[in-house]
Order: sequence, then C-alpha cells, then structure tokens
Amino acid sequence: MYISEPVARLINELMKLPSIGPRSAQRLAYHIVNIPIEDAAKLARAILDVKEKIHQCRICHNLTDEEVCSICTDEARTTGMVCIVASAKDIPPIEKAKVFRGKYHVLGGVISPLDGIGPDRLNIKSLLARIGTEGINEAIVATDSDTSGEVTALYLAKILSPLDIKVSRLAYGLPMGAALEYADEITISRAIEGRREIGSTPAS
Amino acid sequence: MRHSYKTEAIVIRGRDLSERDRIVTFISPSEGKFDAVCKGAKKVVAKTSARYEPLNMLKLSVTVGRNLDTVEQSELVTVFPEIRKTLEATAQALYYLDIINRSLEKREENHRIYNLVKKSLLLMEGGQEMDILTRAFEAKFLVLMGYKPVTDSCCVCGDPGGHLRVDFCRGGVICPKCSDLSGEGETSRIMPGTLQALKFLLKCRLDSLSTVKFHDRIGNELKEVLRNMIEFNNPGAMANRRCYDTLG
Repeated sequence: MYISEPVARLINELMKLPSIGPRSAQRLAYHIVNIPIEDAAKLARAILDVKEKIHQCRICHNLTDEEVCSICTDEARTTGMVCIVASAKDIPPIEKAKVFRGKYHVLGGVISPLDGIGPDRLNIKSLLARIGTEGINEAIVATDSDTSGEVTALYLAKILSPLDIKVSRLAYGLPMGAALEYADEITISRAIEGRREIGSTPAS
Repeated sequence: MRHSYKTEAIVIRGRDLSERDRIVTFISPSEGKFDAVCKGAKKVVAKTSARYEPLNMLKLSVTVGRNLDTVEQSELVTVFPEIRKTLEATAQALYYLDIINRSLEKREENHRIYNLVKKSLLLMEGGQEMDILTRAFEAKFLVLMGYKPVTDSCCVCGDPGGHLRVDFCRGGVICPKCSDLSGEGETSRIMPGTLQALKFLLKCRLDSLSTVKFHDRIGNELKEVLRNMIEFNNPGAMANRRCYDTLG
C-alpha cells in the first residue's frame, strides 16, 4: 500500500465533504499531515464543537449555541417583520446587505413535490405560532428563485395572506454588474414584469 | 453510431453533479426520458442556469457520451408562465412530470406520452379547468401505458350490464357476480355517472375539454378510481400523491 492507513482514512473522510474529490481530499490530507499538531487539534476541536454545541434556535430555527439565537434576542430589531428563508445559510448574505433589520424564520428546506417533500416537513407550524404571538404584520419570503423556491413562496402566500399580514417576495431581475446582453430570457422577462419607476421608493 | 442529436424536451427534474454542473432529467419525443449533463448550469451567473428548471420546454442539442450525454446548446421554448403564477397549477403540472418520471424507463422512445404531457401543459397554460384536464391526463396516460381499463362489459365474464365496481387487478369494470371473486382492496365502487365520465375521458380529445363539467361527486370518485388504477399498474407512481393533494 503506497499510502499509510491513517492518511488513507483521513482522505476517505475528507472525500465525504461536499465538492471534495479524491485529488482535493489527498491535498488536504497531506496539508494536515504537515501542520503543527496544535493546529490539527484546533481543527478537530472546532469540528467537534460545532457538532456538540450547535443546534436550532427555539424560536426561529437558526443555528445557534444558545437556546435562543442572537437575532431573536436583539431588542433593536423590528419585531413586526419576518424574513422567511429556506436554510440557516441564507441568513448571513441577507445580514451582510445591512438593509433588513427584522427577524428571521428558517423553514429547514423547501417544498419539493418531485422529491416527496411537502409543507408538513417544514417549520411552518412554528411560523404560524410566531405570527400569532409576536405581532408580525409583514413576511418577506426569501426562498431561491427556482421551481421549489417558487412553490414554497406560493404556498406561504396562500396560508399567510388570510392572516391579514403583508406577504412579499424578493424581487427578480438583473444582478448588479451584469451586462444585459448576457442575461437569460427568463431573468429579462421577470425584470421587465417587475420593473419600477425611476425615482420611486423601493418597498421597505 | 450517432455522435449527437437534436430534440425538443421538457425538464422533469435536476440534481447537482458538481459545484458547476447539473444532471437534468428530460422527456423528449425521440429519446423518451433521459439524463444529460448541463455544464455550468449551477453557476449563479450562468446564462443557462434558469433554463433547466422543471417544467421548462427547450430545444436541445446534445452530444452522446459514453455514460452520460451532454447538453451542448439549448434554446428556451416556454417556461409556462401562467402555470407558474398559481400554486395549484404548478402542483398539477409537477404531478404530471412526477408520474411520467416514476413510470417510464429511460430511453423508451414514446412520442405519444411526450405529446400528452406537452399538450396537457399547453392547455393548462391556456386556462383549461385543471381538475378535468388532470383526470383526462390520467385516463390517457393509462391508455398509452397499455393499461386501458375495460369499461363496456365485465372484464371477467363479459357480461355487458350492471357494473357497480371496478377491479384494478383485472383492469376494468366487473359485474356483481364476479366481484365476489376479487381480492380485498383490489376493487372500488363506481357510480354509473362516473363510469360514463371515464368512458368519455378515455375517448375524448384533450382540446375538447373546455365545455366539459363533472359533478363534484363524480369528479372525486373518478380521481380515486384513476389514481388507484395508475398506482396498481405502476407501483410507486403515486408515491407523492399526498404532497400534491396538500398543494393542489
């Protein structure tokens, strides 16, 4: 055997990570072999800490190491507005944009009928409970603009609209810096449908 | 051996292959159901990424590969924008694709199944009432898969009248005498009106449905009968029916 057993085992484990193939796994494994043992221990500890300490926020299902996440406990945030996302990893990009100061609700997935994932598999009951108790009057649906994301948004609009709250969807259109000539026909048609008057105030 | 082919196709579903690429399942008239790699389709800025979403109809230019074919060029025909505006229509349209996906083997050329899906989607896009269209889709799907139910006489003894039950195992209506021989759970009650509606749907043209209307009781019974027939003949084809019922 030309690779020692512990290194081969590490390569096998690294290959289980998303988008890590055999060559990348081998490169990472040999990097770990060459780093100081303290750094390797820190890496191992960080992985274990994540698995041991991180769980879902009791209120919004964001990932946190406390019972309730820092966003839900932040009193400076607007309480009447909730941004509904599919996964906890969708929160950091919205937070980076620094335009939304309300709270979040993580669905834990999207409705995907072709995969047999219906609304009962998502955190929708807890969302409805929050709307009843937290005085939420606006919900922004921030799911992906693919078919599953659209179905999820349509379903949420159907069940939230009768509750007398404003339900909106993230706008579609051209990304900043994109050249019109390279945009696809679906994006352009959505951008034209969702056009707004120059100088008009966007929804806030 | 051919090296490439061109075909019209409807996207059934897609799954990630790598950071950039996706494997997409299509249905087309010449290739039947088939998988192909769509390179770069997962990149956020890719011009083609939005094309390979379920329901979209495309014109494809595909290169034949040893294991998997690769889509070299694609042109969007329609995204069915009206269907996508409502939850009910989107769910029904995905239901058609799901049945097809779960019932067809790969590379089974079938122009007629493709045309059934395409025509049903185009009619739904044009505003055709969805429940009747879906019942017609299910009836015609049974016919095209070779499971056309016998509706004119008892499918066991040939008795021409008095059929009150449908036998999924034997594939048609049965008389009271023969229904005693059927296994438990293999038969279901069918009202005379429902039987008439079923006969009509098996024969009618899809584009003649605009003036058709069924009583709710008939529509509900027809839905159960047709879905049970599909499920009996294609086990697993209705695996997600509860999900579609919730959405639709």
